[in-house]
Amino acid sequence: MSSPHNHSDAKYIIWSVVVIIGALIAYVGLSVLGAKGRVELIALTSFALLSTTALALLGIVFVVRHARSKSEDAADMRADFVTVASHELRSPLTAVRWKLAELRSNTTLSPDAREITNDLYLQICRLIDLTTTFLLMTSVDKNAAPIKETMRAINVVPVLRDSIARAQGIALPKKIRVEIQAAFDLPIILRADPLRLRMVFDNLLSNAIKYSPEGSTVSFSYIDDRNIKRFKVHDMGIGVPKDELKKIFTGYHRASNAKRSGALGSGFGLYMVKKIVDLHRGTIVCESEEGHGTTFTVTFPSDI
Amino acid sequence: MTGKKILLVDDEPMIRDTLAKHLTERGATVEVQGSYEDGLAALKKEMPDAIVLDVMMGGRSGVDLAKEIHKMPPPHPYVMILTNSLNADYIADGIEAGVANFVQKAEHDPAEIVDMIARKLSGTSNL
Repeated sequence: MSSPHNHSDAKYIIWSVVVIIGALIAYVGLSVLGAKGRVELIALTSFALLSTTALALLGIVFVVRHARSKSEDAADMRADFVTVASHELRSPLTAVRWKLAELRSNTTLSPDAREITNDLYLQICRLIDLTTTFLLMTSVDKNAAPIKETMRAINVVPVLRDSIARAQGIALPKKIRVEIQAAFDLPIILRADPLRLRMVFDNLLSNAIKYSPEGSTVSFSYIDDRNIKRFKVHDMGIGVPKDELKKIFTGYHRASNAKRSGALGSGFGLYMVKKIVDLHRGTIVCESEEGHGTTFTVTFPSDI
Repeated sequence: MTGKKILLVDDEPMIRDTLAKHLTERGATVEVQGSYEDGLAALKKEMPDAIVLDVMMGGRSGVDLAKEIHKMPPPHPYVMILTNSLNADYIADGIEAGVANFVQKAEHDPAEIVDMIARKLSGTSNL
């Protein structure tokens, strides 16, 4: 690597490491306080962690912007950064989420404490979602070498099974049925990055569940159409307003009725999905009518 | 999950203790181990019905442990990998080693992970 790049890369990495250490310190504080069962202090420490992690996210944005304008050295650095940061940032966030989840089920909490706990829980889930999306976005850049290296001919059936099992878990509390219209008895071979491909189906299925009414059905179907593998995720949910359909893959955009629904979301999920599908030489189409459900159709070429 | 034996291998005490508490409450018999070596020793002693493995344990991988299980004579237990890594390298290897589910810890509450294991062990999920 050239020395000017080295110097500024080091600066960004050191900066990011500093905020990650800050998050870890907050985590340790939370663990200690959590052990003492002090709800108010847990709340305060959680706020400290939320703000520290928000700073870390800003650090990531700087690193990504900086790295995107540079050479393959930067792509390698970015891959390392995503691997390290995903583990280092998401581990303390997991600890906070799991402790808050435990606290939420504590029936002895006062109504005030319960409200604070619920708010914090929702915020931490949102922060986890944002952290994941930002980290993944750094690796789905069209020119990103790391993702291309992880792409190989694989049988995607286990990936799909795993993604649908996760969706069924999310659907359970809303009594939503996840119906599979596909025979998974034969392998489905694609040239793919398994984790990123899973993110596509995780996102489409969790969106379908998130914006569907209780007791409805979300369906997943697969058709092998000779040269094309076609996957569909269909729901009976709130749909997307016609004039907003074109914007849903652009990032920074959430449909107006999605915001009104109160469901958590960053507006980056479908942006990331589109990027990943593009990297796999695929297409994604959204057909929807407001109030009458949505169908996402994803296709990938059969040639590997 | 009454009567089911579950082995948890994770080097983070908070993760394994929280999951162990939930699984025990649901009637399972739970053994916890904090390293690859201790996990391997435990499953050689007695093969459980389900194994939950962290993907990174101090330089050793849960996927390597899944490979060891896969080499043993069937029937093989249900294997779930827990991770917080967004690096895809381990997934293809994990699938070959018979891992049924890969779960991102940050994206689930412990109760959801336990539900997933319960559905698998009760046969209500074939995914």
